[in-house]
Parts: sequence; C-alpha cells; structure tokens
Amino acid sequence: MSSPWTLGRIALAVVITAALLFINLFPIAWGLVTSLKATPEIMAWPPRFIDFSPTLDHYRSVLASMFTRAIANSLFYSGGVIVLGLLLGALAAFGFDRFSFRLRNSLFMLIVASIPLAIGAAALLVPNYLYFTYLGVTNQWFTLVLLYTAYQLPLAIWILKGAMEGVPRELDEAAYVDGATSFTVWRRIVMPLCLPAIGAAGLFLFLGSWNEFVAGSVMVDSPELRPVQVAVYQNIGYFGRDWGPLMASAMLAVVPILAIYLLLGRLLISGLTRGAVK
Amino acid sequence: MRPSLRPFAYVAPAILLIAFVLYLPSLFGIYYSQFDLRYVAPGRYVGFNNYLRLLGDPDFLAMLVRSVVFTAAAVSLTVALALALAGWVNTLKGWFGMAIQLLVILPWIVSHVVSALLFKWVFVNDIGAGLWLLSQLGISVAPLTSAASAMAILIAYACWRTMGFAVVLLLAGMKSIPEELYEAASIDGATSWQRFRAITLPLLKTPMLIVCVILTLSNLNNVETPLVITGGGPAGATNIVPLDIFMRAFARFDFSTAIALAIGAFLANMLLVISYVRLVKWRV
Repeated sequence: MSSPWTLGRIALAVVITAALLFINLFPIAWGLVTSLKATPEIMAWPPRFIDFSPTLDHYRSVLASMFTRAIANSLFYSGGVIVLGLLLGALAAFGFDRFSFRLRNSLFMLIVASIPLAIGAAALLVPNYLYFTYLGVTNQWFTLVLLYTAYQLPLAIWILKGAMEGVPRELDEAAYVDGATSFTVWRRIVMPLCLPAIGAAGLFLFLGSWNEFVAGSVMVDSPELRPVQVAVYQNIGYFGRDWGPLMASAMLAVVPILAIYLLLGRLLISGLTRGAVK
Repeated sequence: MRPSLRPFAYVAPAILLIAFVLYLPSLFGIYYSQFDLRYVAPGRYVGFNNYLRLLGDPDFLAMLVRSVVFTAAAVSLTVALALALAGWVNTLKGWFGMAIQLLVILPWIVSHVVSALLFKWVFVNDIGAGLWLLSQLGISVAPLTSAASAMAILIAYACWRTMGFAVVLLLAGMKSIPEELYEAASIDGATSWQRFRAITLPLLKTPMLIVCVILTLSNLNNVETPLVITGGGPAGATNIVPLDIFMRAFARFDFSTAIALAIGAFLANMLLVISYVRLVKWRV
C-alpha cells in the first residue's frame, strides 16, 4: 500500500514522528541529562535543557556504592540464564521437532501455554515464594537463575523450534546413515544452522532476566545477591527526591538494554512478532 | 537407552524446570491456602477461611472494580491507538517504517522499574521537563493528588509502556494480509475507511485478540506500575490486584490472604492462557 508523498502525508508523518520522539525518546534523553547535572541545576524551574555544566559526580557516588555489586550480580544471572536457557531450550526444541512420541502434543501445548503464563508475575510471586521457602532454596546464588530461566524458556523453545522446522530433515538422515547419534545431529547439523534463532532466543533470555524486578526483590534478600533492578528501586527510597543519583543508577541499568537495542533492534522486532502471526 | 525414551531425554529437563517454577508452586499454593499462615509457616487448617477473609475485606470489591477499570481502559486505549499507528506505519516503506517501530517499542524493552521511574520524573513529577514542555504548548496535566487523575496517569503510563508491543504485533498481522484484496477493493471504488473496515479489521481479528490477551495479562500482573508511579495512592485510589498481592505479602506479611488472592489471580490468568493457546496457531 504505497501511495505518493503528498503534502498532507508529509505533515502527518512529521507530526507523528515528533510526538513519538517526545513521548518515547525524550524521557530517556532527559534521564541522561538529569544524571549529568549538579543537584541545584536539576531542581531549576523552568528546566534547563542545554545551559548546564555536566558532571559525573552522581555516577561516581552510585558506582562507589553496592550498586556496582548489583550490576555484577545481574550480569552473572543473565549470563547463567542465557547458557542454561539456550541449552535446555535447544535440546527441547530438537526433541519436539525431530521425534514423535507419546504426549508430544500435550507437552508442547504446555510450552505454548507457559509463554503467557510466565507474564503473570503477580499471581506466581507468592506461591513461588512460599514453595521455595518451604524447599529452602530462596536467597541462593542459583535462585534467580532458575526462576528467570523458567520464565523465559517457553519463548526460547518456541523461537528455536520454529527455526528447526526450517532445517531439512534430509541432512539428519544423511548423518544417521553415516552412523551419527541424535546428539551429534543436534550439535553438528541442526544447531549451526539455527544461529540467528539462537541469537534471538538469547536476546529475549537476556532482556527478561536483566529487567526482572518483583521476583528479584523477594526471592533473594542478601545485599550480595541483589539484582540491578531491585537496586534501582531501593535507590528510590534511599535518595528520595534526589533525582541525580537516582537517574544515574537508572541510566546504568539501561545501558546494556540500549546497546542491544541499537545493535539488534531488527532481530528484536522479528522475534516479538513470532507469537502472533505464525 | 530405549529408542522410545530418547525424545523424553531431550524435552524433560526443560519441562521439569518449567513445571517446577510455573506450575508446582501454584498447586502447592492451593494446598497451602487452606492453612492459617503465620508469616510463611502453616498453622491450623482453616479450609476456605482465607478466601472468605479476603472477600470480607471492606476494600476488596472496590479494589477488584478498580483493577477491571484500569485494565479495560489501558488495554482498549492501547489497542485503539496502536491500530491507528500500525495502519499508518503500514503505508511507510523501508527504513522509515522500521525506525518508527523501533521508536515505539522503546518503553516496552526498558525494565518496568526504569521506565516507570523515567515516566514519573518527566511527565508526573511537579518539576518534570515533559510537563513544562507540554505547558508551553498549552497542555496542562492534572497532578497525582486526586483519585481520578492518579488513575488516569496510571492508565496513561500503561498505554505508553505497552503501545510498542501492540503496534509491532498488529503491524505484522497487517503485513500478512494479501495486497490483492486492497487492490480489488480499490478497483471497486472502496474508500480507505471502507477498506479498513471490510478487509483490515476482520482479517486482523486474531492478532488483535492475542494482543488483548497479552496486554490484559501484563497489566493485571504488573506490580511495578502502581508501585513506582503512585504507590497505590492517594488513599488506595490506585491500589490494584498486583500491588495488593505484593503489599499483603511483603509489606504487611499477611500471607494468608495474599496466597488466597494470588491463587484467584492465577486462575484468572489460566483463563487468559487458555484463550491464548486457542488463538495462536501452534502445532508441533
């Protein structure tokens, strides 16, 4: 549906783009500007947009606190989730795609159902907390890795399974004739041909675990295990209306997300659409 | 290994982890909800008493109504705006359409805590730069102090956060509609509104329903939105289900009613999950 660029269409495009830039991009840009201002300049009214002297003081004070530890923790959690999620996800996707077995349909339906169920954080939180407390597995280094992997795994399986459907089975059969085991077929043939999907699944595993807050705020309580989003939230209480360090911590928490977004934006958009139109 | 067991070796680790985190705790929770919980330790068996105590809570009904109003308003407003925006993006070609998609998706991929914090600092706080810019355009935004405007701000934030997801999914749905249908309609002299009503809307039904299900789930379960933007105030006016569960359990340590409400929310989520499974064209 491409029509010529009339004056009216250009005006519409300019207005919508300007509105979107203001609504969606400006808050992040303003958060960055705020984090670079001295406190009196932050409180200035009307707000100062360009005439301020940038300072890294807020970043220095935030990085000198336990916040650095929280960033390291979240990097560890996300790394663990990516490794565990891709391993379990790719094995399961291969099992569902390449074998037929009893319960295959029901089990795959369980996976599909778990994609939206994992969004239901509020409903899962209290039962999870009670169950994990009962088992004695809260507040451990692996607690959040297990939780976050389980939240993101259904989507990862769904993405990887879709890619494996596109790998011709003739390749498997040729390898089986040569005496390969199914594990070799998985590792040597199917996996190398699914690299873009592995990237997309890894991307969502990372986003989900880096961004998670509610489970992170209750399932671990030692400061040494605190994830980055919980540290940002606790800074709200700690700094109160002192928006400088608060915005500096928010910006630090958003850096990896923005890096991925700028590098892999297209992959993100195509990954998102899979659930709806496939 | 017997050949018939091999496929299970591939799928079992993932299935077991998912069952362990997403399903077993709720089954355990249904059992636990029948005990009087002192902090997290089960006391005496009370049957359905925790549920009755929850229903007898004087604010409970109002809280449910508020949650429904919030979710219905946020989802319908988001889908309506997203439909218009996606329809517009669908007429764009090449990099510009992709750039707009990337722009709208930004609040969805930033964490809930950070996006709520940024939204609050720019558009809600009394010295917010966004508010100042809007006031220069002659637009004034009501502050958080009244119940109605606090709810309106909460709904606006939810729309802002979920808009990009809805646009991207609806746009993908629009792109899968064959171009020939529009060409045929144009030849028959249909206006662009008629083409939208007779072709786009009916063929977009499934993606639209999927978006509605996902956004309903997301808004009904998002603790961070009320927690960071309004804290449930003023005077409980924006206290909705996710925040209520969170506060009962982890601020007031009333796990007995928290688990009852959580199990109720889980069952509501399951209804949405079932409709998702029926809507998505999945096959093994």
